[in-house]
Amino acid sequence: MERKEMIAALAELLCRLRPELQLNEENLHEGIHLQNDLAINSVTLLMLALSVEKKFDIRFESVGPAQLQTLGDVCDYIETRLGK
Amino acid sequence: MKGQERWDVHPLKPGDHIRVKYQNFYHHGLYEGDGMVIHFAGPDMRQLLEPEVVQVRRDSLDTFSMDRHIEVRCYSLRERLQRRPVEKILSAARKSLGEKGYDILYNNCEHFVNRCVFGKAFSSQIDEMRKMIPED
Repeated sequence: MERKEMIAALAELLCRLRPELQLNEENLHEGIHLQNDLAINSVTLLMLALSVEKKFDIRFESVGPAQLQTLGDVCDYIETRLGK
Repeated sequence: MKGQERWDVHPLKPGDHIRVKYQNFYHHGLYEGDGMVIHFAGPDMRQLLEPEVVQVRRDSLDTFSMDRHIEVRCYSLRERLQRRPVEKILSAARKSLGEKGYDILYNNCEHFVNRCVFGKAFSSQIDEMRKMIPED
Protein backbone atom coordinates (compact mmCIF):
# COMPACT_ATOMS: atom_id res chain seq x y z
CA MET A 1 0.00 0.00 0.00
CA GLU A 2 1.31 3.44 -0.96
CA ARG A 3 1.81 6.05 1.73
CA LYS A 4 -1.02 8.20 0.36
CA GLU A 5 -3.41 5.24 0.41
CA MET A 6 -2.33 4.48 3.96
CA ILE A 7 -3.17 8.04 5.09
CA ALA A 8 -6.56 7.73 3.40
CA ALA A 9 -7.17 4.36 5.11
CA LEU A 10 -6.29 5.91 8.48
CA ALA A 11 -8.63 8.81 7.83
CA GLU A 12 -11.40 6.34 7.05
CA LEU A 13 -10.77 4.46 10.29
CA LEU A 14 -10.80 7.73 12.23
CA CYS A 15 -14.04 8.84 10.61
CA ARG A 16 -15.67 5.54 11.60
CA LEU A 17 -14.63 6.10 15.19
CA ARG A 18 -15.48 9.80 15.14
CA PRO A 19 -18.09 10.39 12.42
CA GLU A 20 -18.11 14.14 13.08
CA LEU A 21 -14.54 14.50 11.78
CA GLN A 22 -14.38 16.32 8.48
CA LEU A 23 -11.47 14.62 6.76
CA ASN A 24 -11.31 14.67 2.99
CA GLU A 25 -8.74 14.68 0.20
CA GLU A 26 -8.29 18.45 0.37
CA ASN A 27 -7.43 18.69 4.05
CA LEU A 28 -5.76 15.30 4.52
CA HIS A 29 -2.01 15.30 5.12
CA GLU A 30 0.64 13.52 7.17
CA GLY A 31 1.18 16.42 9.52
CA ILE A 32 -2.32 16.31 11.00
CA HIS A 33 -1.86 16.16 14.76
CA LEU A 34 -4.21 13.63 16.33
CA GLN A 35 -4.67 15.48 19.59
CA ASN A 36 -4.23 19.12 18.63
CA ASP A 37 -5.96 19.12 15.25
CA LEU A 38 -8.54 16.36 15.69
CA ALA A 39 -9.03 16.47 19.48
CA ILE A 40 -8.47 12.71 19.65
CA ASN A 41 -8.55 11.57 23.27
CA SER A 42 -6.81 8.58 24.81
CA VAL A 43 -9.79 6.26 24.26
CA THR A 44 -10.09 7.11 20.57
CA LEU A 45 -6.33 6.76 20.17
CA LEU A 46 -6.53 3.25 21.61
CA MET A 47 -9.52 2.44 19.42
CA LEU A 48 -7.53 3.71 16.43
CA ALA A 49 -4.62 1.44 17.38
CA LEU A 50 -6.98 -1.56 17.64
CA SER A 51 -8.62 -0.66 14.31
CA VAL A 52 -5.22 -0.37 12.66
CA GLU A 53 -4.25 -3.79 14.03
CA LYS A 54 -7.32 -5.29 12.43
CA LYS A 55 -7.01 -3.44 9.12
CA PHE A 56 -3.28 -4.01 8.60
CA ASP A 57 -2.97 -7.30 10.47
CA ILE A 58 -0.21 -6.03 12.74
CA ARG A 59 0.31 -5.84 16.50
CA PHE A 60 0.47 -2.39 18.01
CA GLU A 61 2.94 -3.02 20.80
CA SER A 62 5.76 -1.28 22.63
CA VAL A 63 4.58 2.10 21.50
CA GLY A 64 3.26 5.03 23.50
CA PRO A 65 1.11 8.01 22.55
CA ALA A 66 4.21 10.21 22.54
CA GLN A 67 5.42 8.33 19.46
CA LEU A 68 2.08 8.55 17.68
CA GLN A 69 1.31 12.23 17.46
CA THR A 70 0.53 12.73 13.78
CA LEU A 71 -1.04 10.67 10.99
CA GLY A 72 2.48 10.42 9.56
CA ASP A 73 3.75 8.91 12.82
CA VAL A 74 1.06 6.23 12.67
CA CYS A 75 2.01 5.50 9.04
CA ASP A 76 5.68 5.22 10.03
CA TYR A 77 4.75 2.75 12.75
CA ILE A 78 2.62 0.65 10.38
CA GLU A 79 5.41 0.60 7.81
CA THR A 80 7.91 -0.49 10.45
CA ARG A 81 5.63 -3.32 11.57
CA LEU A 82 5.01 -4.36 7.98
CA GLY A 83 8.76 -4.40 7.44
CA LYS A 84 8.73 -1.77 4.71
CA MET B 1 -13.06 -15.51 32.85
CA LYS B 2 -14.41 -13.23 30.16
CA GLY B 3 -17.85 -11.70 29.96
CA GLN B 4 -19.75 -9.48 32.32
CA GLU B 5 -17.64 -8.63 35.34
CA ARG B 6 -19.07 -7.55 38.66
CA TRP B 7 -17.43 -4.91 40.83
CA ASP B 8 -18.51 -3.79 44.26
CA VAL B 9 -17.43 -1.51 47.09
CA HIS B 10 -16.64 -3.32 50.33
CA PRO B 11 -13.84 -3.65 52.91
CA LEU B 12 -10.63 -4.87 51.31
CA LYS B 13 -8.98 -8.22 51.94
CA PRO B 14 -5.41 -9.18 50.94
CA GLY B 15 -5.36 -10.54 47.40
CA ASP B 16 -8.37 -8.49 46.25
CA HIS B 17 -8.33 -7.23 42.68
CA ILE B 18 -9.17 -3.53 42.95
CA ARG B 19 -9.62 -0.69 40.51
CA VAL B 20 -10.19 3.07 40.36
CA LYS B 21 -11.56 5.11 37.51
CA TYR B 22 -8.88 7.42 36.17
CA GLN B 23 -9.95 9.73 33.34
CA ASN B 24 -11.34 7.44 30.64
CA PHE B 25 -9.92 4.19 31.99
CA TYR B 26 -9.78 2.03 35.06
CA HIS B 27 -6.48 1.55 36.83
CA HIS B 28 -6.09 -1.91 38.41
CA GLY B 29 -4.10 -3.20 41.35
CA LEU B 30 -3.83 -5.95 43.92
CA TYR B 31 -4.54 -5.17 47.54
CA GLU B 32 -1.65 -6.58 49.56
CA GLY B 33 -2.97 -5.78 53.03
CA ASP B 34 -1.94 -3.20 55.67
CA GLY B 35 -3.00 -0.38 53.36
CA MET B 36 -0.61 -1.32 50.56
CA VAL B 37 -1.26 -2.06 46.88
CA ILE B 38 0.91 -3.72 44.24
CA HIS B 39 0.23 -2.33 40.79
CA PHE B 40 1.74 -1.73 37.36
CA ALA B 41 2.09 2.04 37.23
CA GLY B 42 4.33 5.02 36.80
CA PRO B 43 5.59 7.10 39.73
CA ASP B 44 2.72 9.41 38.86
CA MET B 45 -0.60 8.28 37.40
CA ARG B 46 -0.26 10.88 34.67
CA GLN B 47 2.68 8.83 33.41
CA LEU B 48 0.65 5.67 32.88
CA LEU B 49 0.80 6.26 29.15
CA GLU B 50 4.58 6.58 29.17
CA PRO B 51 5.61 2.89 29.08
CA GLU B 52 9.28 3.54 29.83
CA VAL B 53 8.64 4.81 33.39
CA VAL B 54 5.99 2.24 34.30
CA GLN B 55 6.91 -0.69 36.51
CA VAL B 56 5.33 -3.03 39.04
CA ARG B 57 5.47 -1.09 42.29
CA ARG B 58 4.14 -1.13 45.85
CA ASP B 59 2.26 1.98 46.91
CA SER B 60 -0.11 3.03 49.64
CA LEU B 61 -3.81 2.70 49.03
CA ASP B 62 -4.04 6.50 49.04
CA THR B 63 -1.45 6.82 46.27
CA PHE B 64 -3.24 4.13 44.28
CA SER B 65 -6.72 5.56 44.71
CA MET B 66 -5.91 9.27 44.26
CA ASP B 67 -9.00 9.97 46.36
CA ARG B 68 -11.15 8.03 43.96
CA HIS B 69 -13.69 5.36 44.69
CA ILE B 70 -12.08 1.90 45.03
CA GLU B 71 -14.03 -0.98 43.54
CA VAL B 72 -13.37 -4.65 44.28
CA ARG B 73 -13.75 -7.44 41.74
CA CYS B 74 -16.47 -9.96 42.66
CA TYR B 75 -15.86 -13.36 41.16
CA SER B 76 -18.33 -15.88 39.77
CA LEU B 77 -18.27 -19.42 41.14
CA ARG B 78 -16.26 -20.57 38.11
CA GLU B 79 -13.75 -17.77 38.62
CA ARG B 80 -13.46 -18.55 42.32
CA LEU B 81 -12.55 -22.10 41.39
CA GLN B 82 -9.93 -20.89 38.92
CA ARG B 83 -8.52 -18.22 41.21
CA ARG B 84 -5.19 -19.02 42.88
CA PRO B 85 -4.94 -19.09 46.67
CA VAL B 86 -4.29 -15.65 48.18
CA GLU B 87 -0.70 -16.43 49.23
CA LYS B 88 0.14 -17.50 45.66
CA ILE B 89 -1.48 -14.38 44.23
CA LEU B 90 0.52 -12.13 46.54
CA SER B 91 3.70 -14.11 46.04
CA ALA B 92 3.37 -13.72 42.24
CA ALA B 93 2.78 -9.98 42.67
CA ARG B 94 5.76 -9.51 45.02
CA LYS B 95 8.05 -11.45 42.70
CA SER B 96 7.06 -9.04 39.91
CA LEU B 97 8.03 -5.89 41.82
CA GLY B 98 10.32 -3.78 39.64
CA GLU B 99 9.23 -5.54 36.45
CA LYS B 100 8.91 -3.32 33.38
CA GLY B 101 7.56 -3.94 29.88
CA TYR B 102 4.27 -2.09 30.22
CA ASP B 103 2.22 -2.15 27.04
CA ILE B 104 -1.23 -0.65 27.13
CA LEU B 105 -2.71 -3.22 24.72
CA TYR B 106 -0.80 -6.36 25.70
CA ASN B 107 0.68 -5.93 29.16
CA ASN B 108 -1.18 -3.31 31.15
CA CYS B 109 -2.15 -2.96 34.82
CA GLU B 110 -5.16 -5.27 34.38
CA HIS B 111 -3.13 -7.95 32.55
CA PHE B 112 -0.72 -7.85 35.49
CA VAL B 113 -3.40 -8.37 38.14
CA ASN B 114 -5.12 -11.18 36.22
CA ARG B 115 -1.77 -12.88 35.65
CA CYS B 116 -1.22 -12.90 39.42
CA VAL B 117 -4.79 -13.99 40.21
CA PHE B 118 -5.40 -16.58 37.49
CA GLY B 119 -1.95 -17.27 36.09
CA LYS B 120 -3.23 -15.93 32.79
CA ALA B 121 -2.88 -12.34 31.59
CA PHE B 122 -5.93 -10.68 30.07
CA SER B 123 -7.55 -7.28 30.05
CA SER B 124 -11.32 -7.14 29.85
CA GLN B 125 -11.04 -3.39 29.34
CA ILE B 126 -9.09 -3.88 26.11
CA ASP B 127 -11.20 -6.88 25.05
CA GLU B 128 -14.34 -4.75 25.38
CA MET B 129 -12.76 -2.02 23.25
CA ARG B 130 -11.88 -4.56 20.56
CA LYS B 131 -15.55 -5.54 20.39
CA MET B 132 -16.50 -1.89 19.86
CA ILE B 133 -14.41 -1.46 16.69
CA PRO B 134 -16.72 -0.80 13.75
CA GLU B 135 -16.74 -3.56 11.13
CA ASP B 136 -15.39 -2.92 7.60
